[in-house]
Parts: sequence; C-alpha cells; structure tokens
Amino acid sequence: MEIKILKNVLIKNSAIGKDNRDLFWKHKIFTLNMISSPGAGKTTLLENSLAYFTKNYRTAVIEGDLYTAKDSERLQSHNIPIVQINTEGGCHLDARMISGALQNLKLEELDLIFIENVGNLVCPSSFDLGENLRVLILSVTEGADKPEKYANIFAGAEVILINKVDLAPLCKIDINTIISEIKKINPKAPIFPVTATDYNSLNDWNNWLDKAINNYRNATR
Amino acid sequence: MHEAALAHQIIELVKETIREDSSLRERAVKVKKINLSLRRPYTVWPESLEFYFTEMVRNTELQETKLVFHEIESKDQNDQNDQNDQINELSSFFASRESGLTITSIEIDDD
Repeated sequence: MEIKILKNVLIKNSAIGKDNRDLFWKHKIFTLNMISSPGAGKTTLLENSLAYFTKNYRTAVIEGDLYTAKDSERLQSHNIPIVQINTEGGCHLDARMISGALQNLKLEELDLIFIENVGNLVCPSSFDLGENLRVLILSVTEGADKPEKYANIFAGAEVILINKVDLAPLCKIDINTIISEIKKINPKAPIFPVTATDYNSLNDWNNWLDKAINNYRNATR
Repeated sequence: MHEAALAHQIIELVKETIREDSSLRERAVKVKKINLSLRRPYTVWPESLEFYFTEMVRNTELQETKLVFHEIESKDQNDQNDQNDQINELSSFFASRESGLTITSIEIDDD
C-alpha cells in the first residue's frame, strides 16, 4: 500500500525557522545570517560592524563554530550577549539550533542579532534559520569564479559583501569582474565591496544595513 | 555532510506520518520504500544521503526500508532564450530556502 506524503524534506526546519522569525517580529529584533567560506572575514567584519551598531542597537551574537569558541572570544570586548553553538563537526546551523540559542538570550532587551554561520559555501544555503537578512561574504582571495561554482548560495543571498578588496591588485583580480559574475547568478542583491579591517570602508554597508533595520522596525510597529 | 541532517529529517517525517495515522500505528507497519522526488538543483548527493540513512536506521524499525529517488525533469539547460528564466527560477528556489528533495510517498507492507 502506498501512502502519499508530499512534504519537502526540510519542512520541519522551515516550520521552526518560521517560529523563530515570528519571535523576532514579536520582539522587533532584526536578525542577520552571515554566511561565507572559512577565512572570508565574517568575524573581522562582525568585529567592526559591532563597533558601529552597538552604539544604536542593543545587539547580540549567535556564533556557529564546529568545535571552538575562538570567534566568540574575539567579540567579547564588545560586552554584548554572545551565545556559542558548537556543531561538533556539523557543516551548518539549522533552525532548531537557533531556537535553542534564543533560550539563552533576553529577547525583550535586544534590537539586533548577528548569527555567524559555520564557514561553508554549500550546506547553509538550504537551511532557513528565521533570519530577516541572509548576508553572503566573498573574499577576493577566493577568486572570481566562486559565484558560478557556488551558484546555490549566491542565488539565495539577499545582500553580498566582497571583502578584502585591498588585496585585489595582489591577487590580480578585478572587482568589477567579480561583481558581474555575481550579477549573472543574482541580479537583485545589493553588493558592497569592503575591506573588513578598514572601518571606513564599511560606511556604505553600515548605512544600508541601518536603513534595512529601521524599515523593519517601523514595519513591526 | 548536510546529507546526514536531511536523512534525519526524512526519518522524522516518516515516523511522524505513521504516528499520526492510527490505522498505521496500531498495525506496526513495515515501511518497504520511501519515494523521494529530486529536482535540480539537487543540493544533495543521493548516494551520500542513502549512506547516512542506512547508518541511522540500523537496528530500528526502518532498517529494511529503501530510499527510491525519482528525478523530476527540468528545462533544457542549454536553451539560451530561457537563461533569464533559469536565473530567476534559481534565485526564487534558493530564496525559498527549501531542499530540492520531497518525500512523495511511503510504501508499506500490507501483511
């Protein structure tokens, strides 16, 4: 006997992701899911973004890492709540992990949550965490061929940062080539070339994100 | 590695289907096959998924259950006129944050 099911395999993750998103909406919390390959500069970007955003928003970080708390330790000087998730070798964060991490945060005391996903350009693409914004960070040192090679994750990104642009001449890479390669896969996502170690290079990104957060918070009123 | 997470989701969905159907639950049915439809972009390697599934169901009520994959035909990837449609389709698919894998049905032993 055959019994019809017709359910996407990720339906349970998506349902928990929706619950997370509803919870963020209820508490007017804007949440970003930061995705990149290992070493692209997520944590460095986060360090400098926090310097800007913690001035205006009550901010927390959920840190995904395979085994260590090294990234959390780098962010501790900001004196904000940080929840560490160690996936014990797992290649991505999922909605259930985020739901568990939220139990350790006082949501009524927050405006903004950065989620740093596990460094991986493949697996995180399918897992909705309930975030408001999926941020993809590509380092120029990875090469201009990455958008086409990892089309899944580039297609699903809502904003893309090209990091380490100061190294482009050394890598003999043209930023405009990277941008046009990204636009072939994802013509809609805004793209910000940045150098995460240079605070001033983050101005356009910070301003754009500031507006996105304010638009969201206005919508929740 | 994310195939392990997908295998776990499949097992949970199948067990939930049986649990929620009183006639199936009471009969302690044996699931022979799990039919899965697979559409491009897969986001999954079927052999890897099968490997994790087999390991996870070892010594459980699903240990003899087989995964059966049915590929859904997609548009001709070489049709240049459809290139923009394909980009839009890819973008909306990944914006939806789903897997290209759907459990279509299970087949149970009638005995």
